[in-house]
Order: sequence, then structure tokens, then C-alpha cells
Amino acid sequence: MIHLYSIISGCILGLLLIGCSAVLAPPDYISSSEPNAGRPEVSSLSAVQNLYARSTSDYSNGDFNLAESNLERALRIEPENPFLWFTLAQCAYAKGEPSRARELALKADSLAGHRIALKKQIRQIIGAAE
Amino acid sequence: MVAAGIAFFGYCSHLNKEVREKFEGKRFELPARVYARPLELFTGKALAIEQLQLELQQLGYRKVKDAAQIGQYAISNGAHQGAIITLYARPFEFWDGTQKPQKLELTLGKHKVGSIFSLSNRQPLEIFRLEPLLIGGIYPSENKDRQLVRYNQVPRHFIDALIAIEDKRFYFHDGIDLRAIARAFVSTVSGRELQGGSTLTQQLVKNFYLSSERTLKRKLNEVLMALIVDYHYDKNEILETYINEVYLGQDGARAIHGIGLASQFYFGVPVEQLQPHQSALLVAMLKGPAHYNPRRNPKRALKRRDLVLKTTFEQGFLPQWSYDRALSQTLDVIPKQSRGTAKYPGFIDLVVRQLKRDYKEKDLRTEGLRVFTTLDPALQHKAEATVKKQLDQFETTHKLDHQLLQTAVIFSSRQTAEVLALIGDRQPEFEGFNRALDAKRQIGSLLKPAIYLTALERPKKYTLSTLLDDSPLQWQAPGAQLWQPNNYDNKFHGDVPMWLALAHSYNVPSVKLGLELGIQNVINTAKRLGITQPLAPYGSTLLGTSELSPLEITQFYQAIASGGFNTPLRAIKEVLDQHGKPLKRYGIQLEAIADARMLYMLNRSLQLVVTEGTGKGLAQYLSTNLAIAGKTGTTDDHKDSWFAGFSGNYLGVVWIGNDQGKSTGLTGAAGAMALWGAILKGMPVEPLQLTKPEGIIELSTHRDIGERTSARCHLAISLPFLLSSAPTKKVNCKGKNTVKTKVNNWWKNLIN
Repeated sequence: MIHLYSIISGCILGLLLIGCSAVLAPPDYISSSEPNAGRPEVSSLSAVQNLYARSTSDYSNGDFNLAESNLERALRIEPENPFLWFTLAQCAYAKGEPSRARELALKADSLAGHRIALKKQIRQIIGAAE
Repeated sequence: MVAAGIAFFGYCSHLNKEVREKFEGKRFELPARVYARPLELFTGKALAIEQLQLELQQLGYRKVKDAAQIGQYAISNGAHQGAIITLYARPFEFWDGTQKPQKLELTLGKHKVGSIFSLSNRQPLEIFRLEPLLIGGIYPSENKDRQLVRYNQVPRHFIDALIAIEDKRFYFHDGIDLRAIARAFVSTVSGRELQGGSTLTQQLVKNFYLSSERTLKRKLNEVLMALIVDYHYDKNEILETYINEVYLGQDGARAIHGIGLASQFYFGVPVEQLQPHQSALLVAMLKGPAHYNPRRNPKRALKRRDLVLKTTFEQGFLPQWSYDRALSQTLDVIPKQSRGTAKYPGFIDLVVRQLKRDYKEKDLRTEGLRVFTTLDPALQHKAEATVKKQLDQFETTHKLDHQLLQTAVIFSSRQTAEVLALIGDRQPEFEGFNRALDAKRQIGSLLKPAIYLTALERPKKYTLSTLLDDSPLQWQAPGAQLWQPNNYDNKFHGDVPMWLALAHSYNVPSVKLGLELGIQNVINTAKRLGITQPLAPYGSTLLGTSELSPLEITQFYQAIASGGFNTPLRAIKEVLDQHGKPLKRYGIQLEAIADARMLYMLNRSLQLVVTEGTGKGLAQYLSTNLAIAGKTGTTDDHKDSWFAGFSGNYLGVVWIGNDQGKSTGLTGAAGAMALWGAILKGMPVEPLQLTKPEGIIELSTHRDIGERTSARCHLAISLPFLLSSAPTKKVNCKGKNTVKTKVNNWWKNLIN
């Protein structure tokens, strides 16, 4: 009985810790230090892929305004690309603008269709921003 | 005598103070420069070669055989009716950094960019941003315009020519040249006019500080101040101020001051690139820019230019070979590029209003800010040309007075709310009343989507196939008169499904629906969708008696078109200061104000307006494959004709009416919608592909009855529903209950 309780409490504690870390840190979807390693296929257009790569590098350097500028430039080419809107949400969150981050994440969500992995990460930001 | 001396001394002190204040303080009022969006080039971009050429020409690029210098381009034939363009792009300071000059090779297919290769860096480019077009400015008093240059930017041959002709002892005198004055006196008296007696310093003082009246008092002031200026400042400082102040011509209402702007205006080159024959022409024009205008009076201008060259040579400032070469050149002037103070006054008006939220008007006009906007010159150009043609046509076909009709047009990008084009007058270059921003007109049926969205947000009670009752209505609000609204065809259609009532814009069922939902609830929906103007809580509000501007309507439809996000319309992207330092960036702002699923259903029904309803005529201009969504609007007595519509990439609102309150006979479809379609015809319109949210199911329903039916039925129409409120009853194609439904109904009756 005691053994069972300790397992259960251990699990709950573990989940709490995981949950907290998700709230405290921004999702590390684009914080990989290698510029091209494991980068998702964000667009079929090389121009958009290029601007997205620039924005992720700006983001890693903490230059969030420049990252946003590159993302908006990409959005002028592909305004319905949910990855771009999602990354804008991440920039807003990193800049300390949680309500703006939430709205941008909702926008990304409305365009994400059936991209399950992306939708999951979008929900994370919405949760963190609330 | 002593008193006179003291008075004179006091007066000189006063002048001294005035001179120093102006020289050392902010010397020049620099207008703000307003730029359109830059043209982005990338593989796959829809771009016709004519459009690229037009943009390059407007940017002042010269077409040559071999693009060897910055500011040149060359075209040769490519494969499959395409072209290869070599372009030597100019440097430009963008908000996010300086773009260096670059030589590029572009391959263009018939309507698309193929590849981009940087010849300068020997590598392919995924994307290249051309410098943006300067579309106008926000000017200080008297519409003076200039581009400041530093003394060391100016070629020596310009300075030499200037001094040779205007003031050959400039470096030797103290502000005034007594010998020159004596000579001028003699030549005036003897009838030969060789040279004026004023030094450059005196000319500067005259233009900078004094009025142009020719009195002795002013002349004395001029002499005194010239002496003071020469005392305090060195020759190069004086020259620098002079060359930035000097008046060199007129471009409509815009006055061209300074050689920085003049070299752009006449030759399309920055001042550093001036050649001796060009310098000589500018110096020649100083005596009278209108009289010696090289575009209007080329022979006279050429003669005086050659005189300047000769004088400069004779005084030893121009070597023989340079003199000979310069003489052999033509005037070398480019055709006039711009149209007065602003190319697009309607759009600039919006830019100024938005800027005023963050900047004082005085600073806008004098600080030399660089404003980067969202304007799409290609779309603006097309809209302007179409408006001019189309309104004339409407007046002819509808037998209206010539020049009666007026219009307002606004186009924005559907998802990001960037304003792409704006017209406030049927003569767009006219700087007057801006109807796009300020004309408040009744909006008619344009408000209906607010009613239907309010209904869709109550899915337990309303779906797109819910039947509404289109039968006579008599409604009397407390204290008001009896109201009997009518449909446009003056008929009543019985039970109509909700989508059909919206598609055909039936008034009566819309009003009944609105009253059932509660007028205040509909008004609240309209507010959420971005209408800030208070709407009166009367029944007639449901039929659009409220007066709103085209801008407000565009904002309203922006929330709808973007899928339920209130996205403020933006005309400005970034602002830099006069030195190119970034000041402010205006990023995308938005707010989710409705459920994406409800907006999806609403937008699908707006697509049905175009395929099934009042918007059918749009097919004349744009393919039905584009799945455009829209809403027509016509007011009583056909005074106002409206259309609001959106494709994948564009949202547009068009109003056609007149300033005299007369009836035009134009419905929303025949007038505004036709203009809307004609503007977008031939433009890169993308199809509207609405993203289906989770929780939406697509079902075949009977178009007359509203219940589910087989997809094979010729009267079936596919509609979206929430999973939780999808209709379950099924009818056969004739509209009768299917056997299954009959059995279910029998069983239900039995057990109840």
C-alpha cells in the first residue's frame, strides 16, 4: 500500500516538475544551436525557408525585433504559414509580451490544420502565456 | 552721431545673433520621405516582366545594353518566352540593415521569377529586395524639398563651375566683392550684362534669411549679413549651406532645393556621380531654373550650359580634354519621374494620420524622417487606371451626368492587414476630400454578416441550413413608427435556409433574425468585429442605415476575412531618422474575437454569395476557381453602391456614390462589385482556401428545404456544420422525408 502511494506521489511530483518547466521556459522549438539540424520543413518556398532560418538565428542571438521583422517579411510571401505565426508568438513571448504571444499563437492554431506536433507546441505557448 | 553709431552697433548685434542662430541651429527643414513596399524577388514569385520593367523605370534605373554601372539594367531573351535581366542594384538603407550595391542576373519565365544569381558575390540568391519606390513626402512650409549633401560629397568640377560663373573671387573676399559690384554697375550702365554683383554669400543670405523684395533697406541688410556670415564661418561651410539651399526648379507643387535633390531630379544620379557637363547645366540653371529648364527649353539651357563650360575653362578650372568632352555631351537629362508633392495623396493622408499618433506634425514635416509603408505600387496603379475608365463607363451606360460619380477604394492583405492601395477620389492624384477615410455613407447590406455570425454563435438554435421565414413583417418599436421592410425584388420567398437568405441578401428574414437575436447582440458582434462608431439600437440598423467610412468597413471585413481576428489596418512598417537610424517598427497586432469555427461557416456562406447569390456577376471578371467571398451592399434609392470581398491574398472594399446625394441606379453588384472585379482582373489573385477548423463536418443538404439529402441530388448543396449541431433529418431529392426518417418519427411519436 505504502509502496503504491509512493509510486503515485512520485508520478504526480514528476508531472508537476515537467509542467512547471514547461511554464517557466519558452518552448525550445527553435533554440537548437545548429542552424540546420532537425529543422522542420517550414515551407516549400526556398525564400520563406531562408527568411525563417534568418529569424531563428536572430532569435538565438536574442535579437527578437529583427527575428520578427524577418518573419513578417516571410509572411508577406506566405501569409497562411502557421509555422511563421507560431514563431512570431515565440518572439512575442520572449520579449515579455504574453498577451500578444497568446493572440499570435491562436492565429497559428487557426491555420495549423492537422499538424499535430505544431498544434501541441502552440497549445504550450497559449498555456504559458495565460 | 554717437547715438546713430550705438543704434547701428545694436542693429548689427541683432543681425549677428540671427545669423548665428540659423546657421548653427537646425539649418534646414527636411521633409519626411515616404516609401512604398519594396519589391521582393524570389524563385516562384508571380511577376510579369512588364511589371518589373515598370518598377525599375519608376526607380530611375536606366535600360542599357550592358549593365556595367550602378543604376542600370539590361534585358535579353531567355528560354520559353522568358527573359534574362542583368540588374546593377543600388545600395539602400533598410530598417534591418544596409543593403550593398549588387549586380544580379534574374531569369524570368512568362509570369514568374525563375532564378536569381548574384554576379557580385558569385552565388545564387533565394530572395532579393529591390529598393522601395519613393512615393512622396510630408513637406514643410512652401513644399520645399531637398536632399542634404556634405561639402566633400560634391565633385570639384561643380564647385569650380559655380565659382567661375557666380563669384570668381569667392575665396578672396570678405562676404562682399566691391570690385564685382563696381563691374556690375558699369556693365548695367553700359548695357552689357556680364555678371551680377552679388557674391555667393550674399545670394545665400538673400535666400536663407530675407525676403525677395528689392528695396534699398533689404540690400543693405544683405550686405551687412553677408559680412557677418563671412566673419563667422569658413568658405567651405558657406558653400555647403549654399549648395543645399539653392533653388533649382519646380516639380508641380514641390520646390526642388539643393543640388543633392537636383542631381536626382534631373539626372537620376546621386551628387557624387555628377559629370562636368551635368554640373555645368545645374550651375547654368541657377540664374533662372524655369527660364533655363532643360526639359522645357533645351536649346536655351544647352547654350547657357556651354557658356558655363567655356567660362570655367577660360578661368583655368577645366582641363582642355575635359572641356572638349563635356561640350560634346547632350543635356543628358532623364525624363521627369514623379508627380508633384505626392504620387498617392489618398494613401499618404492615411500614413500621416497614423504617424501623428506617435509624432508631432512639426517633426513629421521637418525632421527628414524616412517612412516605410505597405503600399503596393502595382496594385495602386491598376486601381487608379481602372477607376478612371470604369466610372466614365458607368456614367455612359446608366445615363448619368458626366463626372457625377465618386468613389473610394481600399485594398489590404487579407491575413496581415497591410494597406496595399487606397483611393479617395475618382481623380486619385487630387489632394482634396479623402472619401476612403472620411466619407460616412449608409452601408446597406454590408452589415448583414454581423447578424448571421451572431446567429451562428448560437449553434444549438441556428445552422446554415436553419429555415428563416421570409414573409411580410410589420414591426413597431415602442415610440417608433410602424416599419415594414421589403426585399429588393419586392417578393417574399417563404421558408428560406439561412445561407440562402444571406446569399441573396433578403432583407426581411435578416431583420426577423436580427430581432430574434436581439439588436443589441448584433451590435455587440459588430463592435467585436471592429466597428468603433456607435450603432443606433433600432431595427433599421440591421439593414445598414448606419453611416460608416470605407476604412471602417474595411476594418470590419478584415476581422471576418482573417477568420475572426481583429487586425488593425496598417499603412506603416518602419520609421528611420534622417541618418538612417531605426526609430520605430510597427509589427503585426491582432486579437482573437470569435470562434474560428463560426467564422469558417460565415466565410463559406460569403463564398456562396458569389457563387449562388448577389455576387454572381463577379465571374465576368474573375474565375470562380478563385472561390472569392464577398458581400454586396445597396442603399435605398441606389445612392450608395458597395462591395466588400476577399481572395486568398487580397481584401478589398469599394464604394461608388456621389457627393450630391443623388440616386445613381447602381446596385452594389452592378457598380462597386464590377469595379472591384475589374481592378483585380489580371492581378496575381490567389484562391481563397479556408482552413477547416477541427469540429466542423461537411454535409450535403437540400438547398430549398435545409435538411440533409443525398449528394447525388441535383438540388444538394454542401455546407459546413458543427459536429454537435449537424442536422440529422434526411429528405429525398423531392424534399419528402426519407423512409428512415419516417420510421424514426413514427417511433418518436409512439414513445412520447
